[in-house]
Amino acid sequence: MSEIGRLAVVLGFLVALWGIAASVLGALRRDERLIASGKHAAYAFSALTGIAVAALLTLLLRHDFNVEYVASYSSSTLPTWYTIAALWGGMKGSLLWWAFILAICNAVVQLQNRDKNRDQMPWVTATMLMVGAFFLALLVFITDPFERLPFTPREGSDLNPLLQNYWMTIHPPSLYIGFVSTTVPFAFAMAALATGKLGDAWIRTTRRWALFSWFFLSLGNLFGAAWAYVVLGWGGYWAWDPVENAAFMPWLTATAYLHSVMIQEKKDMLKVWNMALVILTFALTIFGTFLTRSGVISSVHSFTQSGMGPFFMGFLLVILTISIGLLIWRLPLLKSRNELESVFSREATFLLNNLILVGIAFTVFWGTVFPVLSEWVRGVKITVGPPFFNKVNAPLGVALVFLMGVGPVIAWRKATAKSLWRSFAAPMGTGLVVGALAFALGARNFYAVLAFSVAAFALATVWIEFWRGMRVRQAMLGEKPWTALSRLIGKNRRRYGGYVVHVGIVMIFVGIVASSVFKLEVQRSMKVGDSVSLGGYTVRYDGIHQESDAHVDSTYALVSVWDGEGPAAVRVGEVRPEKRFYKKPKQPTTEVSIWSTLGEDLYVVLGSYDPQSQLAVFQVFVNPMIAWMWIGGVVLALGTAVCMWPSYTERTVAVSARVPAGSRPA
Amino acid sequence: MSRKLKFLVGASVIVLAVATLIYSAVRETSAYFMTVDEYAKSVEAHAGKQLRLAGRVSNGSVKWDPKTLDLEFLIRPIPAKEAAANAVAHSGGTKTATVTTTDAEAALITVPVRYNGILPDMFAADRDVIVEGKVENGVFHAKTLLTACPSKYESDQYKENAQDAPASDQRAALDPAAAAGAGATAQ
Repeated sequence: MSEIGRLAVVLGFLVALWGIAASVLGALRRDERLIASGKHAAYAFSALTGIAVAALLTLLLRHDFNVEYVASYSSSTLPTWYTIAALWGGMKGSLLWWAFILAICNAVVQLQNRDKNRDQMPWVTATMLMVGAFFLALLVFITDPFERLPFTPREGSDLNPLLQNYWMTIHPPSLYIGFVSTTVPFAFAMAALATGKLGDAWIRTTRRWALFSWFFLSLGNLFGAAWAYVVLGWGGYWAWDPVENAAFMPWLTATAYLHSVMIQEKKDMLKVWNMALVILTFALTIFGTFLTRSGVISSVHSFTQSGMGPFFMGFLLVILTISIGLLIWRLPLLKSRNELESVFSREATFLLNNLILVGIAFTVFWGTVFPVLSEWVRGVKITVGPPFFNKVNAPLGVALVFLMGVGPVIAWRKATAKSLWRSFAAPMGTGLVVGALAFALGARNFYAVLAFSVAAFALATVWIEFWRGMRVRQAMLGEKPWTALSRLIGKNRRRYGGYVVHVGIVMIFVGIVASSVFKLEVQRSMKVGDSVSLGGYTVRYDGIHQESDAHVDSTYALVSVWDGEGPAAVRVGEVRPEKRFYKKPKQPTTEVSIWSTLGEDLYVVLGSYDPQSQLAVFQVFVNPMIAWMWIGGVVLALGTAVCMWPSYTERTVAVSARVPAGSRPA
Repeated sequence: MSRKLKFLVGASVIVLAVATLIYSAVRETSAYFMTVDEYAKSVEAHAGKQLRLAGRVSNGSVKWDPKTLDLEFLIRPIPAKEAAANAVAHSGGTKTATVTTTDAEAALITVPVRYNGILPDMFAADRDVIVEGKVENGVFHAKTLLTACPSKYESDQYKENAQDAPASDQRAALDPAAAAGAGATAQ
């Protein structure tokens, strides 16, 4: 089986090389046969990569410990679900997994465009296969996932316990899908530059792909936050770790692109900027993969160091050189016919939003590479931690949410004072009232008050948009409220889906602000029967239990949760913070226990337990409004689904295209 | 002023604002990152400054009081051989190690560290840690304590023991010793 996998990887690599050559030559010489051959190579690449993944999966499920990868990341007692997750749990597997997702994207793109974009497709194929060939080359020449050991261990060393978690099984695949699918818009952008067909075609073709990739980047980041929150046990969900940053940066530039592309569609402006954003987003995903695998910047997420850094760096340079070269070559064709007319216009607001998003991406980039830069320049390693990122991004984040309220409503071209007043008086009022309310309720942090205020402002503009649209339909068409609402959304999915996404983002924003500004924490050493109060909760340590199975020894504390402090407190439930000791990779882990409500999370960690003195050390956090982040994530997902759902016309066009002429019902 | 110029000025204001934000935040929040022996050569220069120090927890130096959560230990340089191996691996083979102390010398240089709080899961004697904080009167007061485990997401212990089968038994024999080496472990 490992021979099949290895063969598939090698053949996949060769086929990809052939596909690149055939497509490029075919496009240059207008040789249909070469182009067709390139297309076939693209399908073959997808199929071979699929076979390689299937082979590795089979080896994992068969527990063939003679294969180094299987022995390193799984064991015979590992639950099946995590055995599958081991596919992307180690470095070699994760590279193959990356190639696999690319293979799927590639196959879908080829199928979608079998009769479309004839001029561009050879270039799209070549670009995608180039990325595919790079990843397969790593597996062929540097690190072989199908490597066999000179002996067969009786048992594997198992997957790292920290990875044996529900979120961990869905977080990496989401992020990988988000990362890899940015290749599609990138490939079409390259094709547009290469062919000189720089109209709207490439943007329309990749609009849904860009949204798709943004969707998975969003989910990947949120799942990662959720994993950190429930598994790592330090009370937070985001530590500005280099690898988190690596996943966050492409999200920022992709978000910027989704907005600025609307300006290109409507006003034929920002063409160079959009190209730059597509290139940047793709380059950042490669950079992110490079960060996790090169060890240039130390991070908790690092894979084993492998000397792969230079290859990624080289690939990144090749990509940037080619794409920026093409962009400069085509600059004359990308000249815009329109220009900005007023600062008080939707165009200007979108531009500002783009500058801030890219600005945030830049600050994150700067903070991430700062240790390396300072070492080069000054010979000393200077690091910046979470305080740096929080300090810089707090004002930028608030500004962004404010613009989120302004952007969708402000007039195109030039807003008059009267239209500004009509659109924003009510939302502004709402924002001010909420800000004052937050202050009256005891919020004394400047940013928090400001943040709640702009969040209310942004929500109010969305609310008014929905309300007005509904009222208009009710008045003009005499529809019932719910019919009016659903048809309003149905007729303009992109716009109203986008608003729903905005609501999700505001929820996440509020959750982040509240939980980072108003977080409470206490660490206490307790005997059985002791209790500690924090933020309106009391927790009492009721006892300790120990359990053991083949996989893990666990010690958990019974801790009752009381609402209120002192004698008036009411018992509302129980949490069981736990300490686990995994038997296979001998490693202790902490399992936090969370009492979650819409208002706040009571987050209890069992720090340590001493059998002699019977003392247990607890760390208790009260994290306000965390639940809103996860709810916001669901809202965001729903909103994106609304945006991506094919519109009525698209669906009918797709159907009628498939029905041969003549057989159509009269 | 032409419209284009106006927007150019506006855009540069934003760029400048971001740059200022970065500049001031770097000044306020940055910390020097060094190894214990690099620090040992310049103790005076770094007194009272924000530091991130990487070192190895000295054997038998861990004192932990579970009642007060006060933790004291000594950190020493990470032995040159391993540090070099790590440094090369960490830089993808392009950088040479800066650490030049021999094992014997390394054993002599230690920095006392104080910390208050819960012990991280992977904290133990002979483990590598990164502490962040300030030095006062020769004692490093750590605000954060990170256990640097190079194999955190990968089981490269497997390789060390892979020479002779059955590997799993050997590993079982090796690892608890490391885990139980500290005066206080979580279990």
